[in-house]
Amino acid sequence: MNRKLDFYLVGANIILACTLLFNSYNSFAGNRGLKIVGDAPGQLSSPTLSSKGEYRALIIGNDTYRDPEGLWKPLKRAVSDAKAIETLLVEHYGFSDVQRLENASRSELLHALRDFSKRINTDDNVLVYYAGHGFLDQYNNKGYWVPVDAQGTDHTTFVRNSTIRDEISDMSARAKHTLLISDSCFSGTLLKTVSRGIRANDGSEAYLKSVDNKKSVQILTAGGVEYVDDDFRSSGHSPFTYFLQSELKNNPHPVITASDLSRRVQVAVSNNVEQKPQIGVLQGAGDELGEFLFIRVNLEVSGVPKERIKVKVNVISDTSSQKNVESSTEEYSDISTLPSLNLSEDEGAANKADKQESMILPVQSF
Amino acid sequence: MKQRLITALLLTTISSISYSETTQSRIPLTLTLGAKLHSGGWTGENKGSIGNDIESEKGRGIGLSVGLRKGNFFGVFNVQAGIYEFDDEQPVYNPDPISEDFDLTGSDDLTINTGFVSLGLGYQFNRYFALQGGIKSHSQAWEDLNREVDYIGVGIGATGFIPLSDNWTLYGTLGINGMDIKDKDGNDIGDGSSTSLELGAAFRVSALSSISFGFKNEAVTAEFAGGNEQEHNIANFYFGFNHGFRF
Repeated sequence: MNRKLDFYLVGANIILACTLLFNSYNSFAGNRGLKIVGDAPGQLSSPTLSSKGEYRALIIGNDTYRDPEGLWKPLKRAVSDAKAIETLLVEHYGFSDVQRLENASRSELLHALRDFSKRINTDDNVLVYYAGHGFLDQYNNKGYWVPVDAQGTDHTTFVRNSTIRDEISDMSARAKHTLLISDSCFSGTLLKTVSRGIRANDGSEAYLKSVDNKKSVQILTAGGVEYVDDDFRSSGHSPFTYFLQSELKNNPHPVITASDLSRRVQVAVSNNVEQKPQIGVLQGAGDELGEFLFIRVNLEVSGVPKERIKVKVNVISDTSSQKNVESSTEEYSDISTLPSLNLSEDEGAANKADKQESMILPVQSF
Repeated sequence: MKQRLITALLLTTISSISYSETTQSRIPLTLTLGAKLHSGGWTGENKGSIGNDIESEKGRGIGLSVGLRKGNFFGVFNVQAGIYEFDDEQPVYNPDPISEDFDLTGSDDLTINTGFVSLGLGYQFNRYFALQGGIKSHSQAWEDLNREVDYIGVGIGATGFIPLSDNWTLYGTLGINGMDIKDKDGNDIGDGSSTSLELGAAFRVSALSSISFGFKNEAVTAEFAGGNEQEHNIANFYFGFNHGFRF
């Protein structure tokens, strides 16, 4: 009987040890932080503010990871996150040049950043959004974006934060306002060398004009140096993108600054999951304490004629080397008449990516 | 006691993985359900005073499995039931731990129903190798004779995978278990051990489904309290279907 009990105890210990290991891993993964509860953003009363340059966005969503070592499992929400953000920016904020890249390899990602950078003109407002795996190399504490063709922990197959910062810096050299939004694990490492903080917004038109006139190079990340969730209560989106989308969609004001947006998203995310979005500026890239401004184009404001609301959707000059790039060529005077964008996918690429997802194998017993 | 422990472990497994779902990174939770049919035989030896061979070539059964995976961690639950028909070379029953004699069935035909249940947690180190450990039980019930022997213990298993292409993967698992032997009333009647070896191949039929086929041998050694020993080799070919759900 004692021997039998020993067997049970040993078995229970093995299971409990595995469980503790499992949970400690996740405790580490869900690095906790204090909630920051900020003031409500100022009331933005004027719908007359408009930016001079184009609104451009490069949106990247990586789901179908095909790591031969199996470390980078496929994601479920990154591509849908990217699609949702794209739709939102086009339909609600009049982004005229939006390029979406799905399941980008390292080469495709780097080429997309460079090609996108080349299209930027003076006074443009530039947004780069990334959803996908992120990696923190604990050897040197460097962060990376993980493309779909990444291989295990081989950092040479990742995209290093310093490379991302260089590309953003190149963009910001021409753009008036640049905003990088990163929804990935350890995305907070993008901010490790920059100053943080949220600028005071008194909500006045003068303030908005002031921050619009000054250059900005801002970064908004889904979390700090921590893991972030892929799915939020079966919403179809990560918690960060869910609340980012929610705040942008339900924003009642004609103009919202990146800092105000980030503060709202930060509070909403922190209140619901154990991750804390971060906001900062890219050091050394010419930030002058300006602000990226999101200006609503389909806001119904009494006294504002619809003719003043315009959305242009431009042709993206070169799509041959990129997959799943969406574009339209027409100009519309009213967002409500904007037809559905062509969401066609490269079926061959999609099938191939699908094939490369990890295979379902039989459950093994010992 | 056994049911409570297994229930507790099952709940622990599910709650651990569910907990991870709330805090983990952008890594999906994968639920895999599997079913398989197997056919094979049973060989072995009744050692000691009887000293005869055991042999059945008429074995068949079904297996069901549930797997939960989050990142590199996974939990597994397997149930397998089988029926083996014997002619004159039968496993004998040890009715009394003190007795040195096996009990012959006295029948020309014998059917033994078997059951395997395992519950484990594991970690996959890379694409090619995984380790798991947990509890396993194996029961042998002499049909119509109200006789049953249960082997219950803990074990570990090492699994290797060899991806051949996008659609084909070879796999193999070696498991080692230390077990207590009990009669149907739960009395301790001996000690046992088992070694399992499984070799198979899986073919992807869709993004979330695969079929698998292979061979599994379960080698069980029993040493009864009275000194008698038994060896069993339960070998089966199987064919299975597996489907995954990613959340």
